Amino acid sequence: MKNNKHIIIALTVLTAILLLFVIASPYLFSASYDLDMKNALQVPSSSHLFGSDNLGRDLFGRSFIGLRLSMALALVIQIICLFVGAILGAISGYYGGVIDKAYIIIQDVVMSFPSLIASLCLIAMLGPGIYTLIIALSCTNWVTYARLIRSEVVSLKELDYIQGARAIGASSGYVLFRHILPNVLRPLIPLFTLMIGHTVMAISGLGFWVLVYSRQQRKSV
Amino acid sequence: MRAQAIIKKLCMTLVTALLVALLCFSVMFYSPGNPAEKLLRYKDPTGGLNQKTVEMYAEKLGTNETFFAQFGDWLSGILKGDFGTSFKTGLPVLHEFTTRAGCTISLMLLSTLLALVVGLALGILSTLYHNNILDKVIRFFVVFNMSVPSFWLALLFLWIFSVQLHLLPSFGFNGFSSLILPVAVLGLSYSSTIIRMTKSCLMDNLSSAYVVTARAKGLSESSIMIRHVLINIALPIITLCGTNMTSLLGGSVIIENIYGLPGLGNYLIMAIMVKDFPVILGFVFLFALFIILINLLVDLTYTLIDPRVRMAINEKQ
Repeated sequence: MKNNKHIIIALTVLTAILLLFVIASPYLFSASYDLDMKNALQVPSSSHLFGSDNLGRDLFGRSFIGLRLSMALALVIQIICLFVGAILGAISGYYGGVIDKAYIIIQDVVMSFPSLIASLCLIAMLGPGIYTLIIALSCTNWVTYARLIRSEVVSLKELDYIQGARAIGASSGYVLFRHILPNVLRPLIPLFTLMIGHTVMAISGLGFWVLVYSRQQRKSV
Repeated sequence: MRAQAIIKKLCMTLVTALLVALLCFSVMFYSPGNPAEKLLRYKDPTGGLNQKTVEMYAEKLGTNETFFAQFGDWLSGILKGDFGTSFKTGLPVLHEFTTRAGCTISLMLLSTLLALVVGLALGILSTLYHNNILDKVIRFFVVFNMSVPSFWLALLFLWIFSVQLHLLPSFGFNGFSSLILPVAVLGLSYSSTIIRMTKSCLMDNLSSAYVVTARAKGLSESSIMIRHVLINIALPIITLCGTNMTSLLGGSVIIENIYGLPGLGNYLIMAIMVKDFPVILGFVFLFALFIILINLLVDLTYTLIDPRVRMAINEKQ
């Protein structure tokens, strides 16, 4: 119980900090859009905690405004992946047979592309942009959830209480959504939080690449 | 009996490779724009395009045929070792691949090795000194590593070791010394997952019955660790190394770009920038093949080192 209290306090504080910065950052750091050529490319100081960029904008504020976008994108991408992965993984794990075999092949195909390179190529094909980023990262990340959920469902469906539910005549959809999926949630939550971090990193990696890309294009123009 | 299972596995791998080829090709096929037009634009970026020339080129490239005819052509070319020619350099894609593969593969293998050594060592240390100050330091290292993007670490190392200390080259590829920094960056950033995995597996295993038995037999701690526990945790670690290698292939794209290494990732980025389609198609397909091969090897090592998996396969049949 004491442990629980600590967790709740920590969670509240962290959520408050995150919400404060995510919601309030455009208002808090509105000055970071202002150009100030006299103070361009400054080292970190008390007025600019992270220094300033080549147009004299405050990098500290800009980082927080950027964090907003990264967090929102990561959440959206992971929620899409979670839905797709949960549906495919649960169905293939529960029904088994031909569906499961077909799913395994699809999973093998998706997993044989390095996710960063696959997303890079998709972005290059579709043209850079936020929606493309969401599509590209969702296409490569859903398989992580599907794998976990499938393996959980495969081991859960043999348990007695599931067999019992089936024996009293529950439909397979009801068993799947009412009995199996709630039990898959426990290992899913840490994976979800971990994957949010991964997505933020992937977005920053792709952002680095797009920076190089746009510079190259500017050079060639 | 085991040969049968392995043959089945190989057949599955072939099906996967075929589907991967189909996926690569269809993404490229349905991407906007006409390949002949792209090639002409590429050859002469300033000149206007003549409809007739575009059609002539399309005829020559065979791009006005149906999807399956083109896919068949491409696939039969691959079986003969012909991946097409680069728009940019006019050289065969396979030639571009093989001349650059050495750099990337040595980078990948060395980084995996470093990650494995650092990961195992720190993982074992943090288990042995659980909740000690050393464990806390290692845990901090893991969290730090996981939350820092590798390109930032690469730039930091570049600044410290090349700009400030003048110890190591910052750019290009001449010999082993230019691989040290990239290998350090990739190896360190991939070691954190191995540390975590090693630690959690060790914690599970050290309290299990077979370790108690081994202790009761009077074995020394070091021989319990080496002869019994490490072999038992080898499977998850090997799996992790396999998945790490696949994401290393992606991670090396950025690192090669920063350190100016003439590797596959760097060339792929250049190809993507100038929309050199045959190169993108060929490279992505070869990367995927490489990963399929690694996964196959990981699966085969399962049967090789774990008697339980062997028995399960035998029982199934």
